[in-house]
Amino acid sequence: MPDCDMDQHNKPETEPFAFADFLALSVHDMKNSLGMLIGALEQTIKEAQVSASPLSPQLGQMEYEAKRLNNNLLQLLCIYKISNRLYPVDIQEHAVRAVLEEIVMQNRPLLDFRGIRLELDCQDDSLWYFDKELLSGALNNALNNSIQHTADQLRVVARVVDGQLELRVEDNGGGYPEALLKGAVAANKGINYYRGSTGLGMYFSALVANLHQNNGQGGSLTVENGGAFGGGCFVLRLP
Amino acid sequence: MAMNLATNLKDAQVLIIDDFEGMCKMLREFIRAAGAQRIDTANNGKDAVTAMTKRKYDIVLCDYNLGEGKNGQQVLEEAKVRELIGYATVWIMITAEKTMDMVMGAAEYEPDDYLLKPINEELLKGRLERLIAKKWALQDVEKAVKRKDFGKAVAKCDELMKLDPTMAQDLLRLKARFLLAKGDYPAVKSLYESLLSVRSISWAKTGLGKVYFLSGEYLKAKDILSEVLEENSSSLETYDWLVKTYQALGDNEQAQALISQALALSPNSGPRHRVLGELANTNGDKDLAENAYRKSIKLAEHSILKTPEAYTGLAQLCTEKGQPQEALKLMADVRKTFNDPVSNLQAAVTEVAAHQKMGNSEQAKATLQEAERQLKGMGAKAGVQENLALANAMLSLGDKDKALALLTQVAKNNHDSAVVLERMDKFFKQADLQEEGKALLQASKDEVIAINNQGVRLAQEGKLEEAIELLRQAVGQLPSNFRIRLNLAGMLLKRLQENGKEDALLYEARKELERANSLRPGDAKCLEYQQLLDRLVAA
Repeated sequence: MPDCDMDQHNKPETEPFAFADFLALSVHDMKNSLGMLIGALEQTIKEAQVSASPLSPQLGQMEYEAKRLNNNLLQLLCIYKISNRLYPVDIQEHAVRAVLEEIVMQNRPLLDFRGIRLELDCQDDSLWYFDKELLSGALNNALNNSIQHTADQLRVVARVVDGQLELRVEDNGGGYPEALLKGAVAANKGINYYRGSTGLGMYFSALVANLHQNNGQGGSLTVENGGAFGGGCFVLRLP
Repeated sequence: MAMNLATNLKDAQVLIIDDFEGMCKMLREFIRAAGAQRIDTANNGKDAVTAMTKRKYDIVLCDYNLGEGKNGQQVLEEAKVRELIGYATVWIMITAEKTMDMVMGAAEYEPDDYLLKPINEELLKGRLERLIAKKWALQDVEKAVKRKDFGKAVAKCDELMKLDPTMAQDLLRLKARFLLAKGDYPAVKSLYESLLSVRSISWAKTGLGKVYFLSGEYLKAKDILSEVLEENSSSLETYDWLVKTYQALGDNEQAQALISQALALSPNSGPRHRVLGELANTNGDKDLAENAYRKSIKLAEHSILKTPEAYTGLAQLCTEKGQPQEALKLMADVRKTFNDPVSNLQAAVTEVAAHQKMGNSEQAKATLQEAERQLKGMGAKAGVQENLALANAMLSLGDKDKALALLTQVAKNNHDSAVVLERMDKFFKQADLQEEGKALLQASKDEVIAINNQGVRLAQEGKLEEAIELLRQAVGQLPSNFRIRLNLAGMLLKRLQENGKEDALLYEARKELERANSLRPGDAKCLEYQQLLDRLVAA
């Protein structure tokens, strides 16, 4: 066993331990901890609900923040892997509704806790090609955002428009600020510079859109205000 | 699907495998809340395997990362190989992030699904519901597979696709796998091609590349598999088949570069490190080869699917660089760990070289005799590889006559296989017997062709009985010859057509075709005969 370790330490010149790799490993580790934290929080919330004991609204905030951290770490890890061509992009046909239902399930405890109504609008037999994990990453991020900014309603819509799958996350909050609307467009071009946010989520989602290509057509990301509830809309289109 | 998860879970035996106690506890809570009552946990691969030998589980939730010892994939492989779990068992592999190994291909030992952390109760429930429903829907297909009735399995897939189009993707993959198992390459090709005419799908492209490879169309295989890599959507399977393709094309440098890339993407594969070892050895990078073999052995330590090749490769390198003692130690390991005829033969042949290096010629001779006995014991199961290894050992001990007799037999058994004859030609070159080898190959070829032609002539003259008898004898002498078996089957079919059904002959024809197909899978003529036989049986 010690021999094995020595072996690796003995040749730093051939295998330099890059900071980026170290970061990626740490991110992986932090994700594990966050997974446990989120699980414990959800259980605490559920137990409190069952025993009808009064809940601190801070619990909901804690779960939201933990999820946000988890989403951010996941995005960082993906971006690192994608840029080093280490991410296994796996574009396959999926039943869209099943995938969206799972994403909603992941957010169900938080939605319930905050009393947010969510409707899912998607045909049962809708099939489309995408990388399930990348799409889930982008939509989880959008949902997490909307949960924070909506008043009390959310809508997730999937439909085929002009030969592309259009996925929308709409809320009835105050909508995106002007700077963000511009920022998302910039993110599509691979630039991110808008204020008030690191732009990580938008950058990641635009990257996800871009990785989906079919017959020379690429995916795209837009954010807009309006939609069914007049709030913010996150729109991802996949060819 | 009328189905209630809680009812399904109530009596289900559930096993949770995770090295982290906190995670085990959490998963237990989730699945209990979903309705399960009989839940066991294991904190490492060894305990998990023990638990599965004692109890049949319906659902297994297994973390991929289990610390020291077996990883989740190795636990799954062992459970499948040892049949500790049945087809009905739902196996969910839990991972922290998406890895290359998760890209589903047509691999034999895949879990039913992967689940990415973080997991919550709702997510787990939803996934289980879907997977149980899927198992339910596929049970007829699986029954057919278990009977090796792939024709029926394909038909069932088609039926299900009509019933539930959302399952089409899974079903098409299964269908391709079954057609491949049947050896029906044209049907697999057209299935993939029709999928690809609509959209570029990486698994279908990889599948098509694999079929091209198996049909010997290496350039076509190279083109389409490279395309998948360029599109940045490859699975590890894509790499594996492209590596094989480059090897077949003789471009070992490119093959080595590719297997290194695959290992960068997924560093924990024992078999791929072994391939890297072989390629680096061929390409003259002995240090890299040694390192790769050692890694392969270490990584496969806890795997039920490990093979002796990395050990013998490493042992050869050890002998070469003057450490025959270590080679002998490795081979003692092989005999102890594997202890099957092929492994023992490989060990013996490798030991011959080590003993010789140590100047111990008596021991070398005795070991060679043991190897010969092993080969004889294997009969038709001995492959070209084993025969050549033994011939090589014979030559190294100066037993040229014996070596040439053995090589003649190999040549006759493979008289119409360009791949094998080329390999033998190379072997003779390396052994400095080029001229002698050429003559041997030619004479062997001529002899078998003569027998075959005589059989065909007799049949044409209406002496079908005599022809069949002639070929039966030839099969007895050359049990690994594909062409003779195929022609014998053809004549048996002709006889059946002319004289009507006869059980013994139907059985014999079936057996010959099965053997022929296992010697050379996917041959068009063989397939045609199989279909003809099916029709005769059904008539």
